[in-house]
Amino acid sequence: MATIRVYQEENNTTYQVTVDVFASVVDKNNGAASNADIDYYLKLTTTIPKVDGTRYGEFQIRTLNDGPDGYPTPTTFTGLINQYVTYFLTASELGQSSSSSSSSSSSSSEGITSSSSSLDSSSSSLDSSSSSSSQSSDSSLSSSSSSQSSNSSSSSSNSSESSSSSSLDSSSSSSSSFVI
Amino acid sequence: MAINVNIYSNANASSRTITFDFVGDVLAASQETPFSPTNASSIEYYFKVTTGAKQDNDAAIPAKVVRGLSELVLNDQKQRITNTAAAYSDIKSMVVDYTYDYINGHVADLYSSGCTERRPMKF
Repeated sequence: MATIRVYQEENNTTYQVTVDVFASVVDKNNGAASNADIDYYLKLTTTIPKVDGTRYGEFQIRTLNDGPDGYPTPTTFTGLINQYVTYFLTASELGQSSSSSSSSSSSSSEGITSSSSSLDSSSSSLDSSSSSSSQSSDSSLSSSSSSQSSNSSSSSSNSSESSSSSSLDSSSSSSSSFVI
Repeated sequence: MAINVNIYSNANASSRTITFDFVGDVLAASQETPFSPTNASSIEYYFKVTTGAKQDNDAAIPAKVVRGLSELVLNDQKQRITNTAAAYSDIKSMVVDYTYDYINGHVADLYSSGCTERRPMKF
């Protein structure tokens, strides 16, 4: 499992983009028995909120063509994951100024901190804030992911509900960080 | 979390496991000139294929990094099952082809791919 941490200095908040590989039996042809088959795919989720405060759905990746809408087909998985991170940052407008960021997050009930006075302390508290922020983000993701299916079509054509099991062991993981 | 592909040998009544994990790391092998400011410490995301099984000559099977669907199992040149040089059509095709090759092994330079010999998996 690969975990990318995205730190937003302005709000002193850390988000996560998680990518993992799954295997499940997938019905590929609307119930035709001969097409039910084990499939292997990547599932990409993120705690980055949309502009309206809701969560993105899950993105299932089977080929390198399954990138965000409007992006060219990459040649490597690195290119693909970087495209998704760029897509989330762009679509969620995380890089905008504090005025526009505060106004967009104020309409949400996600509890996003608008911290116009915390700029001086945010840089020194990266390590401690990242762990606590990711914890809260994780818990909110699990509760909101099941209600995201209705919104998934608006984010990308690749979004879909999860159909995979999650009972596999968590033997290894890796993480990286972006600061925006 | 990772995928474990379990292979059972009916003849030997034993099983082996191949693990496919998706990870993000700095790949030392990708750093042409380590510590160069232009390419050092860049994180790559890739499939990592590992197994504790051995070849039938007791040699270990090394870990394999798959950065993209064009990295074919036979020396990045050919698919094992189909003898084609085309990229895998999807992740499933890649997983199936790597699993098949790990179990059966291959002769040196199979399909003129330039690969080295790998013995079949020992059960």
